[in-house]
Amino acid sequence: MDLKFFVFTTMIVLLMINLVFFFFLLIRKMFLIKIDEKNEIIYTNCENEVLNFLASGERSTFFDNMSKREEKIFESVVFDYVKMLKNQKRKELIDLIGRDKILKTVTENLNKKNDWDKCLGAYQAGEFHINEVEIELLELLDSEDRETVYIAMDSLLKVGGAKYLRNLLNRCVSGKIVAKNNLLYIIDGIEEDIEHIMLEFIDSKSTFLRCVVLDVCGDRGYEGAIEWILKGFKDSDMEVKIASLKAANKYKNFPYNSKESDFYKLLDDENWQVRLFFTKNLAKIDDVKSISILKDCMGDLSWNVRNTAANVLIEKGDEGILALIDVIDSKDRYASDKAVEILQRELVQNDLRDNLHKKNPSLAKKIEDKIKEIIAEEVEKNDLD
Amino acid sequence: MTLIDIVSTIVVWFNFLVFFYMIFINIVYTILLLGSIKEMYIYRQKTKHWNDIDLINSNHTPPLSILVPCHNEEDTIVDNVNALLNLIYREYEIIIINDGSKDDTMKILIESFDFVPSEMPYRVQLKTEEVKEIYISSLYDNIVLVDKVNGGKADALNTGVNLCKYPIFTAIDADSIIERTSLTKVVRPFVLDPTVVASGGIVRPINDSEVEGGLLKEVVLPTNNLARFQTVEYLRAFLFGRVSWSAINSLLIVSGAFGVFKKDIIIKAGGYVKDSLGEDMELVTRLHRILRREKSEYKIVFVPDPVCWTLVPEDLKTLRAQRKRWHKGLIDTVTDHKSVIFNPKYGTVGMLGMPYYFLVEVFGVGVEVFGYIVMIISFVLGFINLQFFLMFMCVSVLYGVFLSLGAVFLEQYNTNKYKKVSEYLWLVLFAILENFGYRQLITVWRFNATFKNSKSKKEREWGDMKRRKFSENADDIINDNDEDEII
Repeated sequence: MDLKFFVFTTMIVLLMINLVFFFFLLIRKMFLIKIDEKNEIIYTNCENEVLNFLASGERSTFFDNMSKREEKIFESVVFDYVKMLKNQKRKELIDLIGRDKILKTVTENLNKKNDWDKCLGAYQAGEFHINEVEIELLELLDSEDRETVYIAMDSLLKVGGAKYLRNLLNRCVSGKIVAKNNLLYIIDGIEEDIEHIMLEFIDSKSTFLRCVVLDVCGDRGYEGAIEWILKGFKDSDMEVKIASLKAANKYKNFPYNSKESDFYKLLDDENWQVRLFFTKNLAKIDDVKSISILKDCMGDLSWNVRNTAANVLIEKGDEGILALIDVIDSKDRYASDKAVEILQRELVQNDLRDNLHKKNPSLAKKIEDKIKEIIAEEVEKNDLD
Repeated sequence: MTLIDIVSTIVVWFNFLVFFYMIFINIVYTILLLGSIKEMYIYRQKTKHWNDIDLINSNHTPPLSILVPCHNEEDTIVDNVNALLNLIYREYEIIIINDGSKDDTMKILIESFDFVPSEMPYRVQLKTEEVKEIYISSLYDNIVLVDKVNGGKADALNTGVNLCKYPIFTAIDADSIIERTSLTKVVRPFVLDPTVVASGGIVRPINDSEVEGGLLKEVVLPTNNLARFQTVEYLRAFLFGRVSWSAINSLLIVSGAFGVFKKDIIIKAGGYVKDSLGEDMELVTRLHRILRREKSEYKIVFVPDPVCWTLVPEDLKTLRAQRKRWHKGLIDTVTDHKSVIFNPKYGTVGMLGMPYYFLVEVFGVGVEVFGYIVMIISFVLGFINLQFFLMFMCVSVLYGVFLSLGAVFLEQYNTNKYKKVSEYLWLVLFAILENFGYRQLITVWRFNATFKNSKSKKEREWGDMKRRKFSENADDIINDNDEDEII
């Protein structure tokens, strides 16, 4: 075959392909525009019917005479609303489609070879609470794909609640398959009491799991975890210390001053992250000592710790503000700068001066004097420059 | 051997080179297109089991800092900041960095958002030009304005990195608008996968679309012809270039106009390089180098759904300056990281990503320009028969149109932002027309840029480009510069 003929053939083939492609896209576009318009109308109708049903509880005849397309759109409307509803209303809405029908779709998706279909099936199972497919969901948990495992975990907890929490936690021992924030997020969704399960894992050899468990216990205020949090303060692992501090900070009344507590030793911890969370915890300790420690923290080597300490002092109210004013005169320039910045931010953004004028006029005056002093110093400095 | 013989031999061999180069480049593009179709399909499947509302409301979604570097942006900056304030995201802060603007950018910002000077200390983690003043807003507690000495876009971005308080940040150009849900979508990879260090979204032309109060009301295809050519180019570059490179973790450009990065990794890498014209590509290439050398598990991803809209040049002068700047940036990056090319130590980046940029984007420009010249000489010397030449050109154009149609198909399949049939027809028309002049013009500009000194100080800064402001009555011409690269 000569080159000329080859090029000519290629040209004709490409021309044909382009024409087919062009008309395919054109027809697709026109078709989609029409379909979208119709779908939009159907969606609005279905939505109105669903809302009527939710409000009155009466099943309209609309649901009995739907075309295939209407049924499909109706399912998507129900899917959108089911996410927002709970208990009986959710059950009623699911029954409107027919639970058997949903089960069939979910099972079909979960049994498909394609991983994305399986994920979709798992997601639907979770959203519609289809507990008949628990075994399939547990199988998905063994997948090596992060997203699949995440969706399977989320669905299992939605379907079975705390029943599968142990399976989930055991799957996460290495911490590589699911990110901590994702695991915490799906555990957040469990409404039952899970203290006993959490305490089973609180002394796990996996640092990842220990940190997750401490975090969850803190969120839920489990008393049984307090002794482990206190132990966590003494742990050699930085992450465990941080998780313990984060957990302690979430309790309403945490025994920071108990005999077993090494809390205050964390002020001198070598890791700034630990000192930062230590500082955050001081916001909850209502004594003079905490103010004085916070003033010390304002001189910390870490910017993050200084920043947090300054914010905590503001939270402490008048005493904290007085402490910040004292810090302005500190020889430590970093501490002084931070104190000025925070007080100024509060004055500008949170009307600190106006609020204080009403509650504590003398403190308001003190702040005003201090600011005047700073401005005068600035002006003097600028003049010298 | 006479001179004519020598010239004839060179011309014949060069014709062979061009012929095989064209086959090579088209095979590469076809692979990229097929890869994108596959990735788009996967992405679409994934979105079926993603719930954005859950993600937005989750306390475990990381807070984010938005950096807005600006230089002489008085016409667009307020709209832009307003749009950012209306984003759907749980917790974020906006840091506007005024890089020594000579117009009223500072004045307008201070008046619009009631900024007051703050004594906020400035932590220097990345070295930058002097920061003159830091302002906080009395209206919004999540905006900070930094006024600094002019140092270029990279320097402004480094200043923002120094100031941001959250673990991930995004840099958004002051002349761009992102859709309200885009942030959630572009951050999603960070939430799902802790190994993700950077993620980017699509950038598309906003010219003539309706913008109100910084929010995009209606998307339309630009009416300006030059902008329409660029629309086709953007679709091709983003939808089948970056999607495929991302799939094999060899994405070398995360848009300067819309990219999210992990702050600690950027600080570790030394931030944006000031003397680079393509700071976004340079940074991403450097990240690949550092992380691959350390054998870290990491991903740099492209998400094809979140859209950032940007104004594109509507006159030849501005477009030329922009393309020259981009090409110089590309050459800088490729030459600065030449040791990565064909280096198996850097995996797919070394064996595929960088060689692609070198062979197709840098070397390819020269081949194309010389190809045109040699074609003319071939005619004069009678080596090529007119009929063959025309057929060959037709094949080339038809293949280009096929690829552009592929990009249009991906747009329809993925986001379908242009709703009207007429807009589709215009896109196809411009996909054909771009082969007759526009593409050649861009190639010549890029070729010229190869030989220009890229180290001059003026070029290193923000440049001076003309661009229209957002909004429906966009007749004013403003000075501006930086758009997103679409290499």
